[in-house]
Amino acid sequence: MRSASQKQSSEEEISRLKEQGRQYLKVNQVGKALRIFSTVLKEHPDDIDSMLILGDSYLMAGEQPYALVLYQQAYQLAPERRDIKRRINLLQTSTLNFSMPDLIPTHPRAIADLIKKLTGQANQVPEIDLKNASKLLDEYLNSASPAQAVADHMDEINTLLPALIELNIRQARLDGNTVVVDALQEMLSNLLIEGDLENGQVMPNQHGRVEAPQKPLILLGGVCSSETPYRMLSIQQVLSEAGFEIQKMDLSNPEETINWEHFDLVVAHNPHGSPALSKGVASRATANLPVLVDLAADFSHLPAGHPDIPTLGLDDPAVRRSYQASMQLASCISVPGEGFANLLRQATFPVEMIPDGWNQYDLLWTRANQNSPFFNIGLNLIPGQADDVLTLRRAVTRVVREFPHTRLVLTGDMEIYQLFDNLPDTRKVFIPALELEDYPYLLAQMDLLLVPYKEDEFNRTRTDRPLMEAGVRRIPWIGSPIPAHLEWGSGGLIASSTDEWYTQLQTMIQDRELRQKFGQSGYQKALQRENQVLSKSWVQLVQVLISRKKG
Amino acid sequence: MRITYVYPQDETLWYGVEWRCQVPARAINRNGRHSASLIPFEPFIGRDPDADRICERSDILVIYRNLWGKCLPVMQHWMARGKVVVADFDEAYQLIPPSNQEYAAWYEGSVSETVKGKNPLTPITQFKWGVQMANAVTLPSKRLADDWKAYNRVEVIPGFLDLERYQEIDEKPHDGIIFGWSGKSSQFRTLLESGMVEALRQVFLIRPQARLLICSDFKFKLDLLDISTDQILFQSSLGGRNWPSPLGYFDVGLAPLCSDFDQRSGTERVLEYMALKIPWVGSQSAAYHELRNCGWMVENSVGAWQRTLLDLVDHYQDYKLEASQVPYLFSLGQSIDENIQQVIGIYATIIESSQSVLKR
Repeated sequence: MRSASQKQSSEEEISRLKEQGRQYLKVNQVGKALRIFSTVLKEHPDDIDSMLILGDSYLMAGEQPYALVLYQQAYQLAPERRDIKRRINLLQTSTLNFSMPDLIPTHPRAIADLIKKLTGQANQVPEIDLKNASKLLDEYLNSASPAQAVADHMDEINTLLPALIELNIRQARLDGNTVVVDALQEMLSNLLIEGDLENGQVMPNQHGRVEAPQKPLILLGGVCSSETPYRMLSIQQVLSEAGFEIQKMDLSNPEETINWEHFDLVVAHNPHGSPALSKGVASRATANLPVLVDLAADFSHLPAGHPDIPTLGLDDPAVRRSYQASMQLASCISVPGEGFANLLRQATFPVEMIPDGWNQYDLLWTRANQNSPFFNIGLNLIPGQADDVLTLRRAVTRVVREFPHTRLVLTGDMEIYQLFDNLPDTRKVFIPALELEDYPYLLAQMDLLLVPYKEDEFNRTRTDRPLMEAGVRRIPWIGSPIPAHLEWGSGGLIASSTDEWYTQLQTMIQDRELRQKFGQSGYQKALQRENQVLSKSWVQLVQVLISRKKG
Repeated sequence: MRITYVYPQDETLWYGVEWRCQVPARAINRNGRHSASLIPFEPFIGRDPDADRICERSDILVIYRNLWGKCLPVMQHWMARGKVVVADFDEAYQLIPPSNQEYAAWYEGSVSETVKGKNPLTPITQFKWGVQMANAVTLPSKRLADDWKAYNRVEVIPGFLDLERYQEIDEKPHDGIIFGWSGKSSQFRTLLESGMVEALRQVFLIRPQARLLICSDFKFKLDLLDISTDQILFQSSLGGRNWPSPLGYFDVGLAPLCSDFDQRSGTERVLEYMALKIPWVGSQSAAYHELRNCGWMVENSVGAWQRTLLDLVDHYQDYKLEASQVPYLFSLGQSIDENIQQVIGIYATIIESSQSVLKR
């Protein structure tokens, strides 16, 4: 029987490990974090926190059966926890069939696969170590005296031990020897955890708490655009999760004094919408300090009635000058779409295209649709798009009349709702504008998304964001043939004329299997736009710009 | 299960709030197996932290009537967080006749804060959006349910009596016979158009001991009834103050229904009469069809009303005796405490079906 002091010491150890795991999560070192939580759970099978973190991670990786096993174990231990029940409900309502997973959730192979899926990293150890280990093995195998070769490289072998094991795992996999794979994987996991705990970047401070190393300081500010409503939030999330310290600029306080030179980088989102931020861009440029100007859209071609016109439109000559100046002064311009990026490249601006992403940890993106008695045809538009809808209006009206279980769900623009006055009230519903935090839920009320754009200069530079959003929600789409839609190419159909809209609508309404297939392929495509995936592009761009300051 | 009722504080709406929100909430909490909270509209739509905390803890939010303006995005906010939202109302707003004083507010008003941009639509249009957005709709009458089933899933939750509140009421001693009517001032036209008031005038001429007591929110329309001032009494019921105490003065309950709007009414008014053993006369209508053995139904003609009202005055004790038998026993079965499991069962079914696997 364990004494009270032993128990307390064990609890302290768990608590320390979990805190360290959380710190790793905060600085986006997902692999290290998950290895720690799986170790905690192996040694303390009743640790609910670890169960939930691993369960959530499996869920995010699309491994629902593993997630369900963990949630159910947690629920048995704490049946009063409604958050756990909700997770189970979420899984049960969003997944049609469950099969038991092949491995237990803490199995080293399952954890390794999980890390691979979440981080996108095929290897558990750095590529350079694998190359060196491979070289070392060759040397050893070709040596006349292998024992001597080992003795000569003992220090190197110690350093490269994880990589050597990884090479052996690969060989065992090729041989089909899963027993060896599992044994080696366990060994590798233990080694990596030891390494993480001993040499990790997250170390206890003098108060016994763990904290991340000194972070580069970035000032982020700007004016939101209806074209990319949550882009600035995504940038903030991605960079802070990657270990940068983000300070948000308060545009509501124009009197705020900012020391522009204090920051390693300034990220200015649509800076021409704010005189203070425009000045900041200029003063950074004057001081030869890096500034990243992020533009949501080609504001020089905003169509009439666009909701951004009052805040970001270029009708005011001062704002137009500010727009041009911020592009000229930027160390780099980031934009969300290839169409706009190409225009800027032609004008010889330094441009990086980083598309809009979504956050898998925002449960509103993944929450199951609530059941509806209707097949909901969605039009998620912004004001000013009435002309875009004209091509499909007759087609939509016709299918809604022909298929009595369908309903039109419109958001954003009342004028567009009124274009469908000829439909009875029972067959159409308008969802008023929601707060940004609730935005992902809009599409949860649609079974099919229509993305119509008429042929014009601005629409040619519009992005594939609506298609990505449909993909995240696993709903199919029908869209106009703008370049971004053609390029996206997954999860839906293209329609250019009224007849084509009608035909594609009919197909989608009648063919449930096709819808499911599109939903799945759209989702797979959308996974490439998850913030953690896009994080690499943002981090790389930001690091390059910061290094310029240091240089 | 945790149920939260969201209700408007408008004093003219107190009767609906009482029956649709307060009564079930009290019964749920008395029952003890589940819990119910009540939040006024303003803190709900204003996202007051205390109101948010209550919503956060709830499984189901029942929103009474005011489905427009800021209510719609707030509904969406909670649905996005897994709360099941039910729209509940008790009148046929889609059929309000232009003569009804509420018509202008529903059909000519605007709720500009709902939608930024051009042409914000009228409350009735936005109300229909709210009905469609909710997970389900609960209504007190089958006729009303039939009207709305094309919009969303609809469940009938009849108005059930909180009997405790009626058991405390004593008959108030008075001379003669008092005919009593209670309702909103917007329903005054029904009194006239049903032929009931004309019938009362004629009865009052030949039976001077009979009087009419009006319990309503505004007094100013009494002149329209053209009844001698010594035969008409008024009791304000604005905000539900003292209700149901004034029912103690009623010897005979009146329940005229006339327009299509009236035909969608619930049976709350007559259940109150029955619980207090008050004989009542109502218009022949679908709304009262199931209660045809518990009261006295008349066609909407002056003659039919007059004959029945006169008979009631002349043979009041017989009617009184009859009202204390079958109708009273029926009302006991309509107690909220007897039926609370049915209400909870409907909420549970709505929650289950709202969260069931998608059809996609």
